Order: sequence, then C-alpha cells, then structure tokens
Amino acid sequence: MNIFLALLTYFAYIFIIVMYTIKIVKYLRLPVHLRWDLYPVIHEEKYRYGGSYFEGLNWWTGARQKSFWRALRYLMRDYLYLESYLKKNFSYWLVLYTSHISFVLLIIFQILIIVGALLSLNDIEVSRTSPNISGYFLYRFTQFTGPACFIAGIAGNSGLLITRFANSDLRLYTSSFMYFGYVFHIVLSLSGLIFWLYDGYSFLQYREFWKGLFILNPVSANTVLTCFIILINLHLIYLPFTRAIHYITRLFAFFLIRWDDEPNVRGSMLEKKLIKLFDQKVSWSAPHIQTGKKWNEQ
Amino acid sequence: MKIEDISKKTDQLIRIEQSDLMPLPYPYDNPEKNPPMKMLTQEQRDRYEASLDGVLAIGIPKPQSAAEEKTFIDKFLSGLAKLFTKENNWTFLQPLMHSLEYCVKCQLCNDSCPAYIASGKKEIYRPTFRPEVLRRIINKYLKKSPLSPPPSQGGPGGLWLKFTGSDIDLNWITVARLAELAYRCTLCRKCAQVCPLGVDNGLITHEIRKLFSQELGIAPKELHEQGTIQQLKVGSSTGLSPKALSNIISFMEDDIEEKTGKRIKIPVDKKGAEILLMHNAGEFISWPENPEAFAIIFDAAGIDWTLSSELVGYDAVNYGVWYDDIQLARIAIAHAETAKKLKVKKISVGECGHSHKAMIVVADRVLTGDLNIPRESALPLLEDLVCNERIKIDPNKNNFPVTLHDPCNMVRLMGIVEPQRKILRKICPQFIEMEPHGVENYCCGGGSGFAIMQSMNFPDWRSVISGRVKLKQILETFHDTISPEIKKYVCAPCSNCKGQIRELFNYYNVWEECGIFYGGLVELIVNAMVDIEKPFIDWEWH
Repeated sequence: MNIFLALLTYFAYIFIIVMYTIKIVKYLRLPVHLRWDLYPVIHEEKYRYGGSYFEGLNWWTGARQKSFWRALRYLMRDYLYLESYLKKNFSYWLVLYTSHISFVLLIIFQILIIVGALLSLNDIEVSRTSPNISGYFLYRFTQFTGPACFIAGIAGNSGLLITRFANSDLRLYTSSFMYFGYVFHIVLSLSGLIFWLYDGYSFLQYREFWKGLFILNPVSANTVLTCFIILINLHLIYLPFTRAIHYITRLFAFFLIRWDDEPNVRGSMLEKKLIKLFDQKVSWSAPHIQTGKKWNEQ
Repeated sequence: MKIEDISKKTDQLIRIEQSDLMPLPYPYDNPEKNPPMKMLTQEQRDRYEASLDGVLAIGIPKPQSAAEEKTFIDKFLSGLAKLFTKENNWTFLQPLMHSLEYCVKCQLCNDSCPAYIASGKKEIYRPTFRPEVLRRIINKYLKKSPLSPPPSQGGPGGLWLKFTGSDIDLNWITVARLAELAYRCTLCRKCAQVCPLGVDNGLITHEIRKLFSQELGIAPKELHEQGTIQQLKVGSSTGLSPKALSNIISFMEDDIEEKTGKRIKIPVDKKGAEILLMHNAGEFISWPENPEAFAIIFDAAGIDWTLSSELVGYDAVNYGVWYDDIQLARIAIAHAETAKKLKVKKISVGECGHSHKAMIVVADRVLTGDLNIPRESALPLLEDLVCNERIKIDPNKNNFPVTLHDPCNMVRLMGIVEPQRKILRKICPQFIEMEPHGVENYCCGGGSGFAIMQSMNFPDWRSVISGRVKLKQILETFHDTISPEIKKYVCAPCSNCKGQIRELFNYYNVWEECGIFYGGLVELIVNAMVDIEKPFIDWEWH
C-alpha cells in the first residue's frame, strides 16, 4: 500500500501538471483572431464609463494610455470575492464563494503540508512548540487552512448541489457529472475533516507521508489517511476533466479576447501574423466560396 | 422543456402568447389591446420548417427524401468540424473555443438578454440554450473521446454521454431548428458583458450562422443574396446603383436648398480629400435628411470631404459581420480599395452602427499594407464641430424632450459612448438618458440584420419580442411627457436601429398614441444651427 500511495501521488501531480500545461499551451497557440472587443475595456483610460480610444478624433495619431495593472487588479478583485456574482445573485454567490474558498484553501493547505515536509527534512520542527518561527507559523497556518477548507468544502459544495438541483433554471443545465463533482468535493472534504480529527489536529502523519515521498522512502499510512490521500490524488486526476482551469483561462479570455483592442499597424508583428493567416487555403464549400483557394484569393 | 427536446418531432417547441410576454407600460399596459403576432399560413408551414417557435427568419424548405436529410446533416457536421480548424476559422477560433469550453452554466447572463426577458423567459431564447445545443452536438458527434464514441459507431457511449450532459439526437429537425434559432439572437452581446468567465454566447450564435452560411449556403436572403452578394455585384445591398445614387445626390442638393435656402454642392469622388464619408446606403433611400444634414454641417464647418460613387464604396454596410467571414473580408477590402483609389486621408463612417464595428474594429485585422487606411467614426468629428463651436448652435431650437438610443455596435462593442452625449447635452436642453444606457444599453431589437429581415412573420417577432425591451425603455423614459401632444425625439445614430425603431413605432402606433418621433443625431444638430432659419426636423411620420 505504501508504494501504491506514493506512486499514485507522483502520478497525480505529474498528470495535472502535464494536462494543464497542454491545455494552456493549446489555448495560447491558437491563432490571432479578428477583433471582438467588448466594453468596458478596463485598461483603457476612459474605462469608467466604457469609453475607448475610438472616441478621439484621428485616434491613430495620439499616444495610448493603457493600464495593464488596473486591468489585472480588476480581475483580481473578482477572483477575491467573485464580485459579479455578488452583485447579481447573493444566495448563489454565498454557496459559490464558500466552495471557491474551500478550493483555494485546499491548494494552500497542500502547499503548507509540502513546505512543512521540506522544513522537517531540514531539521526544522513543525509543531506548536517549535523553537523555529517558520515551523511554528507553518504549523498554525496548516492547522487553520486544513479544517477551514474541509468545512467550507462541505458547506459550499452541499450548497451548490442543493441550489443547482432546487433551482429549475440551473437544474436544466446541470449534468450528472457536475453533481458528481459536488459530491466528490464533499466526500474529499469529509475525509479530510475526519483525518484532521483522527490525527489529533496536527496533520503530522500527512507531513510524514510527504517527507517519505521526497526521500523516495514511502511511509505507511493508516486507513483514514490512506482514504484521504487516495481521494485527494483522484481529485487532482479528475480536475483536468472539469472546467476548474477557468481560474487561468479567464485571464486569457479577458486579455486576449474581450479586452484585445490592439490596433493593426502597418509593418507590425501583428500585421505579419495576419498576412500569414490569409495565406491559408479555405475548404468551406458553400456556393459563394471559392473552395480550395486561399483567404487572400477569395 | 429540456434541451434535448430540440430533436423531438413536435408541432412547435414553444408558443408565443400575449399573456406570457413582458408587460409594457402605459398606454400598452393592456396586453389584449396590443396587436397580435401574425401566424404563418398553412401553406408556409407545409413548405418550411417552422416547428421552433412558429416564426420564420430563414425558411428552410422541408426535405423531400431521406437522402436529402442525410446530406443536410452530413454537411452540417462537416461545417461544424471546419469551425475548429485554424485554416478555416482562424478568425474566431480562440474566442469560440473559450466560450464553448468554459461556460459553467451559472445562468448569470439570462436576465441581460432582451429576447429572453421579453418573451416571458421562453427556454429556447435563453442565451445559454443555443450554445448548449451546439456543445452537446459537438460532444456527441465530433469529439473523439474513447469514452463517448457516437452510437452511430456502435460505441458504448450512451450512458457516458448522459452522465456528462451531452444527450442530444442529431437529426434534420435539430439542424433546421438550430439554423432558425441562430436568428433569434441580435448579437448584442449584453449577455457576454455580464459573464465573469468571459464566455460569449453571442459569439457562439455568430459562429453557428457562419457554419450555415459558409458550408451549407444557408442565410437569410436579406443578408446574403440581397445583402452582401448584391452589394458586391451592384454596389449596394439596397440595390442602389451608382447612377441612381447620382440622382439621389441631385435630389438631396435640391432638398437642402428648399429646406435651408442654401445651395450646397455635395462632393463626390473628390481625389485627395481629407475625409471619405461613408453612409449606410439605406440613408440615401429611407432617410435622405441624414446625409443632407452631414452635408450641411460639413459645408458650414469648411470640412474637406467627399462621397464615393464607386461600387460598394457608397454603401458602408457590411452584413458579413453578422454571418459570414469571407463576405465580411470581401466587402471590407472593397471599402478600403475605394478609399485608396480616391487617395483620401481617412474614412469617416456616418450614422451606422454595424458599419462602424465592421469597418473600424473587425476589419482592422483584415486590412493590411496600403489597404490599412485610417478609419474612424464621424461622431468625434461632430463632437469637435459642435462642442468647440466650429458651427453656431442655438439649443433653444431643440427645446423638446430628447433621449438617446445607444447602438450596441458603436457603444458596447466599440466604446464610443461620450461624443454623442456631449453633443446632445450641448444642443438639447431637455436631453434625458434611458435606463440603462451607455455600454449597458439594450439592443433596439433590430441588431445583427434583424432590422432588414422581412421574411414571412419575422417582422412581427421583431416588434413583439426582440424590440420589446427597447420600447419599454423608451416609454419609461418619456413617462412624464407621454401625451401625444408633446412631441418627443428618440435619437438613434444608426441606420439599422432607426429602421427597427420605425417598424416598432409603426407596429404599436407610437407616433399617434405617444407623440414619439425618431431620427439621427445630425438632424438634431442642423435643427439647432443658428443660420438655418426653418426647422430641419419636420415631425412628419413617414
């Protein structure tokens, strides 16, 4: 079992990293598209009312004021408290936010456990009595994030499950796979919570498990911890099949599509890319299209 | 109803009943008094596939044989596959893939869709319904997942497809209904604006339209045969030839003289002019007072400008932007070639929303090299002329209630929000905003070609459903002055929006019952010009 758990953990982490990398690279390698701006564009100077540089006379002659950081801040604010949902639908926001918080805390919890294992390997004690301040705070943070993420996971996902089932508008568009996802999160969170209670609130055994992974010497885990580890690894394997990567793709959607207001300037890199794209053959077959000819020959 | 019901053979998926519709304010608050929607005749029903909602925008003839059905479905699937290839759809591949893959179906966008709320929330008009149908077809019939081989291949995919929510049957009726359904969304993209994940259901609709046009040759005839095809062949989607344009320009010069006492020579094909002004050719035919007003203003301000009489060059419209990328590119290039030939410094687009977006924004990545001629909206120039007092204005001449309709294409989709407002604040003492307005406006209901589509009972659908929210907004804005004795003006600086508002007002008899008139922005400017003695706006309904 020790070897199985270790191999499953290695596999799960490699799998999610590879899958997410493929998804991101695939997304970013898609060709530049025609402009499809949607206002307000937050990096624009006149973003407050949704204005653009097209409001200026001879707009191509003036210097553009563009604030990347403002746009990033805007998106981060939405990441922090899901502002769009809060404004539109409070009850949905409440359960959605709780479930998102649990997800973020789960990532932080995992990082804290891994860092704790690394500290322990370097002879830094991770406990409430640790003489090392890093070890002490790491222990305390882990103690907080673990149960917080499990409780939020149970509450948020139960809330989402009930809301999506009870609301007919949402139910119609909720697949069994989505319900499965909520149940999976609830079961994972429950197993984590049970392990936390069973482990004496310290997560010591889980850190030891990770220490074993780093020194390629898998340690044994009790049944409760084994269940938790299996579930958390399955969760990592399951994530690439969901839309969870929208945490990242959302950034692309805003910067590369909705807010992409970059004008095409003669001789620019953008123009060179476009010329190449126009050099491709079209196989659309409607009567008004010259099938087999290039875009620039149509 | 369920999403998979789109594949089921039923008489009609939904019925539009007066009692279900979003209520309108006074004087249209009694649904029974409002005009009923025209029903299709039995002959039309027998001939065309009308089982979506009993309305026909395209009118796809029913198949005569099983072989015909199969060809139709196969072509649809081949087109669908092409939507995901770089060579065929580099133009919108990234936005399409994002919107298809990352919608979490939270339904936050629902209430922003004017058609959905106006209809009393009919399922098929929900902004997420159409994309979900497409998504299911893709998952079931296009994706090569080992867990979900299509049943046609004898795979054990049925349960898995049900589990992942990809349950749908692809038959002739599904495809035909989807084609019609692509023309129940005005592409106003208000739904996209509220999506926290950047999903754009309007774009998915746009891509469905493209699939049908570019692969199956199916599109509303007003957009395709009588639209882009005619424009490229005859010069204008209105059918206006260069010779007819020349006659209209002569008429306009006479009309200007009659209205203002001034003889203005409208410049045509003036080489090397500062500005090539491009109008929607519909203005020359339906609202010549609009290009006349431009001529009066530009003449008064001493602007160096010209019109073109070149084929395509005198019609700024580009219907390709709504349904076909190839047609979009062909027309955009023809526009730019006109400007290149005339050696003008820039193109200025008159009061036409979709031409703004097509020519200035979308075609920006179509025009390369010396075809990439500077293009801008006429609104900033008008703002400069009015607000910097390059023409003399007496706002008291416009002392009547005025509101502004924001055309989606130039406002939400282009960010031109303030120039028109600055002008109205300067020239209209009783200017009042609609709610919501600016980039959060509602579509007039005629967007994405609807305003010009006249197929069977589609115009009624446009007035009853897609334009309903706009009518409500207008009535609420003029709530305090709703009596027909008080003349009011809806300023719509867009030809298609004007066309839609005209039809909407005709349908509900708004001019007679409420005294609400409509028109462009330049007409208001000329109406307020000090050296124009007679009122330019004639307040005569036509």
